[in-house]
Amino acid sequence: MKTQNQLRAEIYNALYANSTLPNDIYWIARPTVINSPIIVYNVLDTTGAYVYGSGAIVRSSEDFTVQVDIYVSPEEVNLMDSYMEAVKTVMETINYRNLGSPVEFFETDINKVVRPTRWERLNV
Amino acid sequence: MLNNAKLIQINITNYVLSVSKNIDEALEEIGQRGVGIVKGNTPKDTGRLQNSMSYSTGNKVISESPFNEADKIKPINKDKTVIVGTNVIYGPHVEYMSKNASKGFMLRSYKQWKPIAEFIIAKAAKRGKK
Repeated sequence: MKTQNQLRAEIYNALYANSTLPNDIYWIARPTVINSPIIVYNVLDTTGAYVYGSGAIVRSSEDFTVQVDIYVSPEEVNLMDSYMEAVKTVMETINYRNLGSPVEFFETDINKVVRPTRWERLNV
Repeated sequence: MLNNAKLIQINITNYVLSVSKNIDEALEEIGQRGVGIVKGNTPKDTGRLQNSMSYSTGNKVISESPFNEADKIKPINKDKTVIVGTNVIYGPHVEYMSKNASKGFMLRSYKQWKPIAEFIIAKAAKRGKK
């Protein structure tokens, strides 16, 4: 069984290795105004609250949900769909299933368009 | 021998049909349980979001008392599938962008709902022919 850190590393490496996605991939980072596009990923615990650090309370180290947010500036919003498809391909390759409906927001304080996606690990 | 083969074939067909019917019934129950769980977790101000929670299975949508018809989800045209949710326009904002504990209310509901759904489906599959 993999630990959560190993799973996080697996997600990072898979996202980083994809040529379509930007190389700016962060773990629970607040997106800066300068960088765009960027990918932010974080782990959600079984109650749906956000877990910071390694204190996740889960039934199994592999039973976890991850949220991958895609941030792009409004000028590059036409690239959003290709990033979304790339994230989908990457996550499905490493055995994750998409949760929830497609959704997109505009964050006015940082002037970025964000598309959050949630993924659940299969066959745990 | 041929008659026996036919009899077995008919029995298997009946069994499969009854299991399929059991699963359809189970999906109804799962949908109702899901709506109950989601409503329990939905933050309430005017009650619009909470009352709009509905479930869809077998090409029909069931909702108790939405503020208006457009708040209900659209029917899902997939076999053996159930969805629970809302069509209220600010629903995703509450789920993803809230700055308080309302954030993630659907995910919390999903986590509570999943083991119940698994149990109900397993029970229906085991029940077999009545």
